[in-house]
Amino acid sequence: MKYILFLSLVFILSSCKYGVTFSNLKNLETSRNDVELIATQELTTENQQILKKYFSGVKDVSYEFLNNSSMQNYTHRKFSRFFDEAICNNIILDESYYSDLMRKCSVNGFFICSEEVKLYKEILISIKKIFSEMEINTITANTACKDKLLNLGVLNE
Amino acid sequence: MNKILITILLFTLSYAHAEEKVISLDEVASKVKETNFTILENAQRIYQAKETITFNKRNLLPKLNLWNVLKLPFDWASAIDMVQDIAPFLVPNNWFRVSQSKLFYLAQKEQYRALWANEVMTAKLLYTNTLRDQSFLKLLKTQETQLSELIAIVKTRTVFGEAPPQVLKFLKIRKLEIEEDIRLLDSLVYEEIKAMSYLMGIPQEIDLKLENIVLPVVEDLNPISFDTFVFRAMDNAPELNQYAYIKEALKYVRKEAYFSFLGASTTSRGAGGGVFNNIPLQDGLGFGLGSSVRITRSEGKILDINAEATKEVIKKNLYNLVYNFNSYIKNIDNQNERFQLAQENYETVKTQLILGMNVDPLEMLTSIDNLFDASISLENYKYEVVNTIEKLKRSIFNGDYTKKEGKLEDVTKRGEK
Repeated sequence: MKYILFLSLVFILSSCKYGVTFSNLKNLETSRNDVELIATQELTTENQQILKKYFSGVKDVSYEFLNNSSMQNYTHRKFSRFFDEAICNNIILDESYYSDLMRKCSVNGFFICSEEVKLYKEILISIKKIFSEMEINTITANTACKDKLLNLGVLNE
Repeated sequence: MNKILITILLFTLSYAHAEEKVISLDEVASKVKETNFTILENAQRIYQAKETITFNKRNLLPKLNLWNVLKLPFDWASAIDMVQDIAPFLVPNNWFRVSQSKLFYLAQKEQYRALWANEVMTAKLLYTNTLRDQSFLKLLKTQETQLSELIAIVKTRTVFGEAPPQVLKFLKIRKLEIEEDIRLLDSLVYEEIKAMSYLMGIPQEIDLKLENIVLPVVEDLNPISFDTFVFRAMDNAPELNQYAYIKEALKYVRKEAYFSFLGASTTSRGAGGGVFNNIPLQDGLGFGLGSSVRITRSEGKILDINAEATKEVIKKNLYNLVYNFNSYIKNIDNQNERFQLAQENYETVKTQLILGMNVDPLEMLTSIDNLFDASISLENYKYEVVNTIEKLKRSIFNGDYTKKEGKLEDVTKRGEK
């Protein structure tokens, strides 16, 4: 009984350990929706904050994954639990919105948005590298997601 | 024998003729990054901060201290004291130190980013100021030539009694003053070039030549607004990012206070970790816990105050830059008109003098001085616009100042591998 309790505790603690990062990953959907809502608006300070929230969120989650090999192993073991066909489509921004934002962010030859906005594609390319080919195929089974990643240049034909 | 003599001659000639290096403004940023002494030194500190993380992680593993082991046969109970040697991973505060060292590494990287940007800006401003002073030198030499022409005319007039001798002497004194100004400015330009060499880590023996830059057409520039740049200036400010990382590290110091009953940590916090050395932490759970926690909260408030002060400084600098930039654009027509009128006046008076009309030589001197002042002012104006644009780029980390923040650099670097 003690042995079972101990194992359960280890199991719960190990999944809780990465719970914050996976929760942040899921929350990117909300912030992505916010970005799409303001994509056609002026780049006010409030709208810049909305952009920052989404793009920094992507960066922070990527940083956690890339710098934690234990989390990567956990992710591969529990891949189907956290990554389904919908997640990519939910959290990745469409290329048309992204291009619009990049145009708005360039004013008089200056780039005025967060650096994370400019390096969005590079961040996605970095995070793609931790997944195996099979896992990428699972994620991109959704056509909309695959198109998004192709248009962004994250995936090659 | 002849071959030896030729070899010696060639060797001597190569030393006699100093090596020359031509550099452009575009190369300054990369040169500063590669060879600036302050940057290189700080890059080593970043490396040390990164190694400290590795050290702290490995410090969680058991280690051998022979003297402690030798105590055991005499006092078996002292085995408990050896937990820091045998099982340091059982001391939570050691884990908190690992987390702190990671955050201090990121804070150190932000400090490096600020320092790097400041060094690049200093080098680029020195470059443009040196070019400006070289322009001034040319204008001074032009003024000297114009004055020499005037002296030649007045000399002739003095011989024929058409001009008093004291006028000629006055003009000669003025010419000597200009020659002294040329000497002083020439020395200044020389010092600036040597300072440039130092900033870019180029050996002083090398003769540095600066390529000219294309000055902006100020009339074609558009006014800018503070609101356009303020977000980027705040978001990219390494000083603010540094405060954020240090404040995050402070949470772990608070945890250290709570978990001190499981042992204190002797592991270093990493580079910059000394900022928390004044926070008292007991080695064990005691009545001082409350004070330790309150002190950490107070440290957090200090960081918040410093961050707010930094934000206001950034805003103040940005307001000044935007205001000056717009002011330059607004008033360029005044500068152009002044120069044009001075030039027309000089040409008119010179023509009258050459045609033998009754022109007071001192009036001619005044027109030469006016033309010189207007030329200097216009040249200086354009270079000030260049400098203002450079400072603006630095404040928002654009152009040559684009350097990624710590986490962003880490993430994108892994993608390049």
